[in-house]
Amino acid sequence: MTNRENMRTGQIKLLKQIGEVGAKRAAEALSSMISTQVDVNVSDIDVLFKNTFKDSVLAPRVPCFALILELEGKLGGNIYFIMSSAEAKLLGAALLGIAEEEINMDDVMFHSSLKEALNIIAGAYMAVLSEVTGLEVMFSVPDLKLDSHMPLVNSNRADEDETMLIKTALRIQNRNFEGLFLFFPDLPTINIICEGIEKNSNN
Amino acid sequence: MPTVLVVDDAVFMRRMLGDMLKREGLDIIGEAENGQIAVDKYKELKPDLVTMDIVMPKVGEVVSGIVAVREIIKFDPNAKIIMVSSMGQVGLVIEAMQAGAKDFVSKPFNASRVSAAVKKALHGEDDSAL
Repeated sequence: MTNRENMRTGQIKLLKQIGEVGAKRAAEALSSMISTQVDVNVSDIDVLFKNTFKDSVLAPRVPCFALILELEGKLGGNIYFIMSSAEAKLLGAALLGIAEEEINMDDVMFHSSLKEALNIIAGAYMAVLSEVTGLEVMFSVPDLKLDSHMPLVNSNRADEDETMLIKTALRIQNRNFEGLFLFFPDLPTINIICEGIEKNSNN
Repeated sequence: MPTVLVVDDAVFMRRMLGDMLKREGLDIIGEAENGQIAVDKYKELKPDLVTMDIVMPKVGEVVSGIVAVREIIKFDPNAKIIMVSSMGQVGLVIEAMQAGAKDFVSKPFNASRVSAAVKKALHGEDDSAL
């Protein structure tokens, strides 16, 4: 097996761990936040390469909200959690305890609730990344943007060699939502993470 | 009625936490969306308690909730501050406690955990069962 294949195997293993445990934590966290049953499941996990990524993930030009986080400290890269604006509206209504028709897409409270919920989901995944690697994962103040897929994930990021993807399905009050968790670690970070997993699994 | 200053860059979290604190019998006398405003409002309002988010936008010289804690403790060594952290921010929470914070709650918080933290910060009661 080549080094690249080894690395990809390691990344898939990492994503499975993050996905399985992170989804459970995110569900518990969101349930606690809105005092209602929330189910979070991972429907797809993959490591995508740039051409596949652009074609399979960014092709549909549907207006979306994206929570954007930048890794800080020893790790470098970006994290995106993307959700279509139509689904974000439903999620916002559940978070604020109001009807979907009452949601104003420009409302500060709607944006703030959505930002916190997506931040909690991304935070759950990052907390698991920290545990499986033994590394402290620090990230920037989250930024929430509304746009079509392509501009949200800036062109430099979309051209990266590898993107880790966790497709996340949420179920709140009998309604289904889907979000994309995209993790663009830079190359040194992939190496640090792989070393961290190896070291931690040997302990 | 004890008074509280709620510090968080997210208006949704300020409202959510504020509602919980009101149910605990506290009077919300101020809100701040960054560390600099938090320090200024603490000096002006002198609340009995502060809830302080850790990661907030960098404004002025007070670049984080932890720096705000240091500034407030410098002004008032008896200040009672509860940190509000996201999941996985263990290192930052430890740093904040070393800076003088009395306790912490992790987002998303529930009412019982907030209640325990308030009692611990205001009255020194430590309900380890929570």
